[in-house]
Amino acid sequence: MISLQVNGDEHTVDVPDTKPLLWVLREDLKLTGSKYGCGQALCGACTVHLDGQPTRACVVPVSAAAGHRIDTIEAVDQQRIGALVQQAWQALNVPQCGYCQSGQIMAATALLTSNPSPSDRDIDEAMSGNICRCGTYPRIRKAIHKIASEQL
Amino acid sequence: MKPLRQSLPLIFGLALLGLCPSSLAQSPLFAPIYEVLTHPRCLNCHTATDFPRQGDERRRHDQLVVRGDDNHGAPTLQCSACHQDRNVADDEVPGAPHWALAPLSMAWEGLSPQELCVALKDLDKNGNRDLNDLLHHMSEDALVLWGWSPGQNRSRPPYEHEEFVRLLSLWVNAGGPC
Amino acid sequence: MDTMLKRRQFLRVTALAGGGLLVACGGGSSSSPSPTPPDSSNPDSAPGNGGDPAETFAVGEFLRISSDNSIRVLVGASEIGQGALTAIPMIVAEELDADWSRVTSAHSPVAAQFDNPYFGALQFTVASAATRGYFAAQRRAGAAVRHMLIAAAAERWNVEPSTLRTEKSFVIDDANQRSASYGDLAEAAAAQNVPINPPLKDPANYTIIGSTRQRLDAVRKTNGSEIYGMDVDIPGMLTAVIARPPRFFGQPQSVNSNAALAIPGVLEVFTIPSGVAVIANDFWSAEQGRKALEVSWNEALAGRTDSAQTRSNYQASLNLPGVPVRSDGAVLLAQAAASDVLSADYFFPFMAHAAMEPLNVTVDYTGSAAEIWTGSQSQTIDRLFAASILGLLPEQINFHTMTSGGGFGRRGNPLSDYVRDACHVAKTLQQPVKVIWTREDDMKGGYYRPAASVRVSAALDNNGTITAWTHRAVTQDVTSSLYFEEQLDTLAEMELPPLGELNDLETGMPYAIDNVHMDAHLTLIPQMPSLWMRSVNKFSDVFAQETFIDEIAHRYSRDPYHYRREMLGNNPRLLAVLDGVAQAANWGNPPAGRSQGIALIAHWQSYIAQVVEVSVTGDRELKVHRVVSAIDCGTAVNPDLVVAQVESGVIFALSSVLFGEIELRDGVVQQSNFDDYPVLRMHQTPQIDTVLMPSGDNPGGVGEIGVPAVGPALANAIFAATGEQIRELPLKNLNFVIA
Repeated sequence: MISLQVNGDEHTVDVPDTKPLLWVLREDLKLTGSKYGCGQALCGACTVHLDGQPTRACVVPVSAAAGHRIDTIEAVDQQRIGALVQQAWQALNVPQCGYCQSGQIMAATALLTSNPSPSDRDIDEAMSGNICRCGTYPRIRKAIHKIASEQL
Repeated sequence: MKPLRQSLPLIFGLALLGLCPSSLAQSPLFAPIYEVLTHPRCLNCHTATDFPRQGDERRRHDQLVVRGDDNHGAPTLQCSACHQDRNVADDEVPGAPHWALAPLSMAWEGLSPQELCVALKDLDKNGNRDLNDLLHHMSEDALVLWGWSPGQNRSRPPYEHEEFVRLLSLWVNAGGPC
Repeated sequence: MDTMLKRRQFLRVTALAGGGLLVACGGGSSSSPSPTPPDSSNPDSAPGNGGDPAETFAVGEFLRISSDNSIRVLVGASEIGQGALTAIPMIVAEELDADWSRVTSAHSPVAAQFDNPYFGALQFTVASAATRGYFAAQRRAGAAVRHMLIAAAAERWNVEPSTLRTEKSFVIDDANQRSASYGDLAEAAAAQNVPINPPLKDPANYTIIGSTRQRLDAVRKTNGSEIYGMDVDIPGMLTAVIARPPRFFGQPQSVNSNAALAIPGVLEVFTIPSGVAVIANDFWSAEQGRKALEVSWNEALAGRTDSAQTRSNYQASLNLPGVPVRSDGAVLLAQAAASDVLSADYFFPFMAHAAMEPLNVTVDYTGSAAEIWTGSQSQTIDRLFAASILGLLPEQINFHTMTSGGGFGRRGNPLSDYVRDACHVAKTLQQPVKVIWTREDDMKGGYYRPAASVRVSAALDNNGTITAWTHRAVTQDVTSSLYFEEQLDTLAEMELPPLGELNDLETGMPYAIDNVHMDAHLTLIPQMPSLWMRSVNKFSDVFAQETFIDEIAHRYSRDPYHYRREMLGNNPRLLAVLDGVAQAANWGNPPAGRSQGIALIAHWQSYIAQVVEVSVTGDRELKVHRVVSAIDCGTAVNPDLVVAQVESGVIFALSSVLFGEIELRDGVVQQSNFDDYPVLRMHQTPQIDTVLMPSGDNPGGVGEIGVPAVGPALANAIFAATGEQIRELPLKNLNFVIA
C-alpha cells in the first residue's frame, strides 16, 4: 500500500512500487487529465507538479512519489497562476487536439510561478520538454507573455 | 590486485615527474584515469558548456536542457523532471541519486590529461576534496557508480569499476602525479 | 453527392417532451435506429460537454433547441484538433441566427445522416474536407429551422412572417415591440412545414461566420476534462496490449506465455491475426506481461521493405514512363525546340504521423451488440469492419467517435487496422477491453507516409521562359489497400470515396506553361502499410516543383518572387496570396544575415504562398527564423482557427522537413519514440505570421494547405543562402545542425 497526496487529498493505492505515477493517477485514481504520450519523459504530456516542480509522471515510480505533494491539471485552477494560464489558453484558442495541453499548462504554470516575467529564452528553456504535434507553440508563447505582461 | 610495493619504484619516479612542469610527459598512472573521466558517461555532465550532452556522439542534450544556476537545469525544467534516482522505463531514461551537471569548476571538456589532472586535484575546483576524498567519491558515489551501470546499450568507461578504483588508488597512493 | 444534398435538405422536426425542438436530418433510409440508443459521443456523458448525463440522442438528430434556449449541434466530422466541433456549429448557428453563447456541440453517432457530402456516403475526416464538405448543407439546415421558428411566432402573434426578424435566438416583432425566444417557440415550430429551399443569408450579413470565436472545447481542453479514447473507462474494463511482429504481417508461430501470465494482473494471453494480445487488469501489468512474453514469428510472408533498396528502386523507376496524370500540349516538341532542358531528382523518406495520443480502441462486445470508443477520422468504415469481425450488423454497433489527440490521416485508415485488432481481442474476450498502443507500437506500427521519388524537368527558351514541364512521381498508392480482395466483400456495399483524389497526386501545376506532362508510378506493396499523411503527395510533389522553379530562376538571374509572378497571370487568387506574402514578409529585404525563400500551392480549394527566413552558419547550423503565410481559403468560417491551422501546418511541415524519417532495414522499423523520431519543439519554432486574404468564395480546406509549401520555401532560402540544392529530406541527414 502506498499513500499519495494528490491535489490536496490523501489516497492509498495497492499497486506495485514500480508502477509509474502516471498510470496510478489515470487508472487507480481515475484522474485522466494527465496524458500518456511516450512513456520515456520525451514529450511532457504527463507533466504533473511534484512539490511544485514540473515532473514527468510517466517515469516516476509511484513509490518515489509517496511523501511528496502531487498536483495535477484537474486542480491547477486552485493555483492563482494556474487559473490565469487556463484562461489565457482559452482566450487565445491555444488548444487544438488538446492532448498535450495538460502538460503544457502544468509547465507554464510552474514557469510563471517561478518567473513572473519570462523572456523568450526562459520560455524556451522551460517549455521545450513539452511536445505539441498540432503546433500550438506560438500561441503558448503568446499566452505566457500575455499573462506576464497583463496579470503578473 | 598487484601488491603495491612492487610498483613503488615506478610510482616514485612518476611522482617526481608529477612535480615537473606540465610540458613534460603525463603520468602513466593518470592515463587510465583520464580515459575514464573523459568517457561520455562522465564527460556528458562534466561539460564546459551551459548545457549537458547525451549519447556517445555527445550531442547537445535534447529538449533544450540547460545547466541552470545550480547545475540542476532550468528553474522549472530540472534534471529531476525526468531523471529519477535509478534508471527507469526499461532503462531508457537513465537516472541515479542527485543527478545533475558537475559545476563548471569541474568542467573537463577539452582538457588535456595534464590539465584535467591538475584541475581534479585543485581544492578550489573539486569541492575541496583531497586525494583520499577523491578516491572515496569515485569509489562510492552513486552518481559516479551509475557510469558503470548506465542501462540499455549505453557504452561504459573503459575499465570495470573495481579496476578503475584500483588504478585510482595507485594514482592516489602515488600522490596524484600529473 | 447530389442525392446526399437532397437528402440533407429534408429535415424532420419534432417537438421534445417537456418543450423544445429536435431536428433530425431526414431521409436516413440507409440506417435503421440503433438497438441501443447512442448517447453523445462520450461514454460518461462528457464532463464539461454541457450534456445532461441522462440525455440520449436519437440517431439522425443533429440539432436540439431546448426550452431553456440552449442549442446543441451534433457534428458528423471528427474533432482532430482542427476545430470541427466549433466551425461546423458556427455554420448552423449563423443561418439560424442563434445566440452563439448558448450553442454547444458533440460528435454525432455514426449514421448516414451525418455523412460528409464531399465524400457521399461516408463520415470521413480527411482531405481537409470537414468545413468545405458540410458547409452548404449546414447552412440550409440552419436556415430551414429559422424559417420555422419565424413561422411559429407569426402564427402565435397573428402577423406576417415577413414583418419579423431574428437575432441571437429570439424572434423579434419590432412593430409591436415583442419577442420570443427560440426555446419558447420550439415546440410550436416543430409543427411547421419544413421549407425545401429556405432563403440563405447574404454573406454580407454574416455575424458568426467570419468572426473569431473561442473554441467550444477550449475549457475542456484546458482543465483535463476532455475525454479522449485513451481516457475511456467503463465498468469491468480490461486493458490489452498487443505484441506485434518485428516485420509487418509476420505471424505468431509459437508463444510461451508462462512468464507473462506470472506477472500479477496479467489475466490472459492469446493470438489474434496481427499478433499476440496480453490482457490485464491495467496497462502497466499488461505492458510488463508483454515484455515477459516469448514469441517466435513466422516471417515467410512478412514485409522486407528496406529504405535504401526502396530508394534505388524508385530511382530506377524514374527512368520509365508512368501512368499519365496530366498532359497538356506537346512536351516532346517543346523540349526539342528548347534552348535548354534541365531536370532534377528528389527523394523523400517514409514518415510517421506520430499524433500525440497513441492509437487506442475500447470495445464492449456482448455477443449480440457492441459499443466502440475510439478517436477516428473514418468511423463509417471502422464500424463496417468491426461489424464484419464481430459478426454483427453495423447498426448493432454503437460507435462513439472520441475526440482525437491528433490524427493527421493515421486515424483515417480505410483498412481500420487498429479497430480490427481491438475487435479481434474483444471477440475472444467478450468483456469490455481497451487496447492501448504504446508510443513505440504507434511509431513502429506502419501506415506511414510512403517514401517517394520525384523527377521534374523544364524546357526553357533563351529568356528563361519555361516552355515545357514534366513531373514524374514514384510512390506507393495510399489507396491501394482498398483494392485488396479480402476487403472487397466488406466494402462492396458502400459507395467508395473519390479515391484517386485522395492520393492528391496531380500537382495542379499552377504556372502558365503550355506544355505539361505529369505521370506517376503508383506501386502496390501489400507488405508495406502506407497511408495518407497530412497533405499526402502534395508534400513531395510541391517540394520538387517549387524548389526547381527557384533553381531555374537563379540560373536565369530572375528573382524567385517575380519569376513566379510572371507565370501566374491567369491565376488571380494565387497571384494575390503571392503578392500578399511578399509584402508581409518584406520580400527581398530580409534582416541582416538571413535569407528568404518563397513557395506556393493551390489545392483543397484554398491558396497559399509562404516565405521562410533562415540563416545558415559556416558550420551548417541552420536556424529557421520566421515563416510568413498569406492564405485565401474563400470564406474563413472562424478566422482565428484558420490562422491556427496554418500555424499548425507550418510546424508540422518543419518537423517533417527537418527531422521526419522512418527508416526500414530489411523490413524492420528503426525508430521507436520521440528520441529517434524527433519533432519540432518550442525552442526550434520560428516566428510565424499569417495573413488571411479571404476572397469570399466557398470555404476551402485549411487543415493541410499550410504544409506543402513550407519545405520548398525553406529549401529555397537555404539555396539563396548557400547555393546548395536540396534534393532530399530530411535536412538532418544533410549534416545540418538544427538550431
